[in-house]
Amino acid sequence: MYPHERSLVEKHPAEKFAIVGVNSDKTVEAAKEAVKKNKLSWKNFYDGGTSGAIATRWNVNGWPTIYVIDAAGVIRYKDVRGAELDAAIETLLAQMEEIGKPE
Amino acid sequence: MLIPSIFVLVLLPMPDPVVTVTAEVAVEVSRTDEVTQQQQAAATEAYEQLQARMEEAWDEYLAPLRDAKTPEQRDAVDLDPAKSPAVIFIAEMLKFTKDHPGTDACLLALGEVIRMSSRDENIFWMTEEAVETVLVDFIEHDGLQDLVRFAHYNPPSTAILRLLRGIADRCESRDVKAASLYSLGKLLGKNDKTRREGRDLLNRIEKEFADVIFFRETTYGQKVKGDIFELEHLQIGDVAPEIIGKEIAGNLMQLSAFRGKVVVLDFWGNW
Repeated sequence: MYPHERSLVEKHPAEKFAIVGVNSDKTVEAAKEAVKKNKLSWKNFYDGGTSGAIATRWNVNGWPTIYVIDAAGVIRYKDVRGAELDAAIETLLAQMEEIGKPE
Repeated sequence: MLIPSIFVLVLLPMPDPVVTVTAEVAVEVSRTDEVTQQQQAAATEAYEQLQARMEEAWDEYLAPLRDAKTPEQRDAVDLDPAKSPAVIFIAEMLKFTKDHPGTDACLLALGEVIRMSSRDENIFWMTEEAVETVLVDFIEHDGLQDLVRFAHYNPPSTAILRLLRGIADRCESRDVKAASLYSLGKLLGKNDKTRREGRDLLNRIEKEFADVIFFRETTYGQKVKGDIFELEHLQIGDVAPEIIGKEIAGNLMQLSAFRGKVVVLDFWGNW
């Protein structure tokens, strides 16, 4: 998972694409350690455990859980992985280009 | 092909929502009471052997996936559905249920048959038959709650949905009713066409079964809160709810600050 995500961040420009993590480790130290060990360059909320406020509100019962959100803030894909995740991001980036074009 | 379609035809005209307990059900229940301890023990032993053989077959079938080292290698694995252990063992399990009717192991085997139920037309009649047997022979069985409690993790096959509807309609036990309505609501909620019905069921659980225990210390009341929020606000096409919190380094951060970018929101943990 981590190498794939790192590759996504390297591949897409930061002004158009971001990974936002929600970490559910038991302690913030464990979370920091995991970020360091796996060389995660993106930002992560710290949720204070698996029954943290964010995971509870988002009804997350399994980890990892993935949502892909478009530039307008709309949920567009849920629980896509691997090649499916790549394709989802490509689609949304392409749509962004389309909308951004002058008439 | 003829035989399956006949079975389906016979089974389809089921009396749907309100089903009163009929004399037939009462007779079937008393029949299951007559199972002796010896029969129970023999069935359990035979079931464990069957299970072990099935696990071995799955292990072998899935070995290429297990041996794949990279995601690319995994994607390249091409498992032949015709050789899936489900094809053989669904029939073996069903035969087992006939050899050991009314036993605890019989109910476990029926559960396996229903779980393995795919959309494969050739085996559809087997799952239908298994559902029917659960509803007739086991409607008062203690093991029913375990059968339905996590049923929402299965794909929403016709057989699973019919099983859950049937149990919710006919079972007297509040605990079992809550468990089957919950799993049914969750499964219906996954499909655009049935989402509203799913949400209505979860709302009903919140009103009528909030105090029933789901698992360990969690009640269905606690459980459905998140599920209802998910159905109402976390579907594809919904604006992502705001998240305001602290990032790992301690700084305040909010999800909406990433507007204008494509965002992969990843819930993760290092364990």
